[in-house]
Amino acid sequence: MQFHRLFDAVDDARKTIVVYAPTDAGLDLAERLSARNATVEQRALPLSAPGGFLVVRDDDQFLGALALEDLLSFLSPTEFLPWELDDVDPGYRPVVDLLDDTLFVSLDRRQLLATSREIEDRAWRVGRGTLRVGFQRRAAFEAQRETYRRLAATTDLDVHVYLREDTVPEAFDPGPLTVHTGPAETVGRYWFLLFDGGGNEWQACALIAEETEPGRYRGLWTYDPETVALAAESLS
Amino acid sequence: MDRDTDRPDLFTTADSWELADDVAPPPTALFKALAGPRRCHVLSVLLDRPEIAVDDLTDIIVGWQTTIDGPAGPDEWAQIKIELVHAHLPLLDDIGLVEFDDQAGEVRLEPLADPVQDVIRFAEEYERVLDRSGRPSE
Repeated sequence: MQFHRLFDAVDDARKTIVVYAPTDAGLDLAERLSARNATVEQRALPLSAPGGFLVVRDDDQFLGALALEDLLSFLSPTEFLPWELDDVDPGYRPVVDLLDDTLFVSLDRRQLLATSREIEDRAWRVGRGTLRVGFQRRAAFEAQRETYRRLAATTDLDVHVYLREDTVPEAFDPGPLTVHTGPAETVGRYWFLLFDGGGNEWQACALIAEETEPGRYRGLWTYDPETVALAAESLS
Repeated sequence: MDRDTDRPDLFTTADSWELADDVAPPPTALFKALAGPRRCHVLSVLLDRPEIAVDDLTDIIVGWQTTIDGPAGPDEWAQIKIELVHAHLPLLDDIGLVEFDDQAGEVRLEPLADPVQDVIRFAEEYERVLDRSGRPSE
């Protein structure tokens, strides 16, 4: 399992985000953004400007700009959740596009769960293709076991489950699931779901989160089919 | 306390205006320069950053607009850059407020007389007041 290579590759493609803010209002935000895949610079704004905004650049290319106020509400988990990215106001489309390639963000368990449900739901709706799911802990798998069995049994989905070799239940009957086992230091480190889109690349999505401290995760979630494919490759 | 220090420092008083050798266009030209929020914004930005690359200026103008119209992408950026390069900056250059070097992609603010700077700040402030009160600012 070579997810860290994927993280590194993402790191190489860092964007530059320039936060223009009057006074220090943008500092806190700059800190939050630095957890993402971006270099953050802060510049002062003319005092007469109405509010802060940020500009995203990739090399010398302008990618997009948005008001800080809009970004804050976008980042607020109570207003937008990842699975709503498809349904957000078209005005937010550029924000989504900016962040969509690869979202690199600090997440807590609740957000990870929500994102996981979205990926499962998407896989279920498409009904074919391959869904790969890694569980850090046996209890997490036990809690989802029936759901995944049903998912595999009632659709054409090929469901692969990755478990720590020391946590596979005795006399385990995988049923319609394909079970892989791996060492604790890799499988146990990541919470991941990869769905290849079942032939429709617009449906491909992935969540790969690494536990950095108990209950806190550094995660990558993406709707970019190439990144999803790379992630799947790194599992083999 | 001195009355003058009680005033917001936005404006100098006419008594203290010194034109010296600084740029001070005739009113018609000055108000033409300020006609249109885009050029006002450009001048305000230049008051803070008197020398700036056109690309950076475009970033700021586009960003400024996002606080009113919502997020912007490369199309909006290209559109605004075209406006700046083909209309607004040449006009400001003609009036003598800026020096626009199209080749180098740079703009420099000329040394503006105090009242000219005040009028620019006033125009910007006025737009904000209108905006805050929900009245049309364009």
